[in-house]
Amino acid sequence: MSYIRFIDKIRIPNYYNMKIVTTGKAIIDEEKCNGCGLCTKICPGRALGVRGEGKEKKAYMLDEEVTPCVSCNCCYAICKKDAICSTTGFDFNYYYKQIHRGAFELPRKYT
Amino acid sequence: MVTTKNRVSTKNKSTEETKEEVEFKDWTETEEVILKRRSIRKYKEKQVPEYLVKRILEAGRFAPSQGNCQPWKFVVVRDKEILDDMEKFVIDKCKTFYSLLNYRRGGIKGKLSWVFAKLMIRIMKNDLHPIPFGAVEIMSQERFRLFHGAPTVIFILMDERGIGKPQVDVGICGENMVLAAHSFGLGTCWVGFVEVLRLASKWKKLLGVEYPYHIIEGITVGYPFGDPDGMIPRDTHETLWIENGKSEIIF
Repeated sequence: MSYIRFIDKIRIPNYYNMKIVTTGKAIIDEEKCNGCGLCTKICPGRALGVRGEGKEKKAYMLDEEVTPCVSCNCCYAICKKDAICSTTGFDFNYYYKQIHRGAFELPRKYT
Repeated sequence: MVTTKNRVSTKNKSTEETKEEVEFKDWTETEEVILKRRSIRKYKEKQVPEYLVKRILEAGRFAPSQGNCQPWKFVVVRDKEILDDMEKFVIDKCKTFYSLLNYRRGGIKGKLSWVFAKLMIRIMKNDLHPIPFGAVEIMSQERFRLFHGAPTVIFILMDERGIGKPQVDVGICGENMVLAAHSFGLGTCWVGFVEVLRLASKWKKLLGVEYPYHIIEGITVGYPFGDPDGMIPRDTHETLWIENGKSEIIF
């Protein structure tokens, strides 16, 4: 179980230090992606771009190291080809440490 | 107008339909509206009809609030020039602020910014969480539009003399409006950055932000570009379930 330690409480993380920061990540299935660019237009963090020409046009994450992705999965919702998905959240650690979270899941139906 | 006749008929209907247990095999309409709604950040230029905006405001008017104090005031802006001007203003402010906060650059400026940023983060711990910090960055680079090109924006002002937690009431009211809008096929997005507008007397005057009102949130309304709605995977949260004298953690 995750919890906040005293050091977490008093320390502000360095937002660009990849040793402590886990940023959101969208995983792109290059086989399914047709490079339509819809996801790049709606991404709230402007984390996505399109590269390549013609049939090789594919979406990709712009800043591979510190991505501005917030794992909102808006790209997942708009993608017609089902080619993009984010399955992990962001965590900036220390003061902003994420606690009490489980795995990503679609809306669950209980009957 | 609510007549006595209407009241009687609705009462009868509800008693007739009351059952001990109802099975919900599919999502209900309301659930679908809640689960499929996504924040829309790209809009068509087409203006939203006036009657739909008014229906959205009605949904907000009937939101629950503490002690029925209704601590909100709405401002609807539908002029493109004004919205563009506001966008420019906020981007300018972001540029100034980020030039002070940007500790990613090297040299003495970067070091000074590092001290300033760490201090500001401690003071504004919610506003300068890494995510809005990044948003200030992309706004200052003009890669992000404040209202995402929406033709209508509803500003929610809060009466600071509200009962208990007026901020929560304003949130409930806004969520009512957002869900109603989605049920009409409209797209919406919450814009917290509109708070920056209070820095200029010009905008305060225009929006009527004066005692006892505070500008809290803006909601962009418009027809979404593409087909952006749908269910998505999202984090599950730890829930403590206490029953029969036992407490257990579920997800």
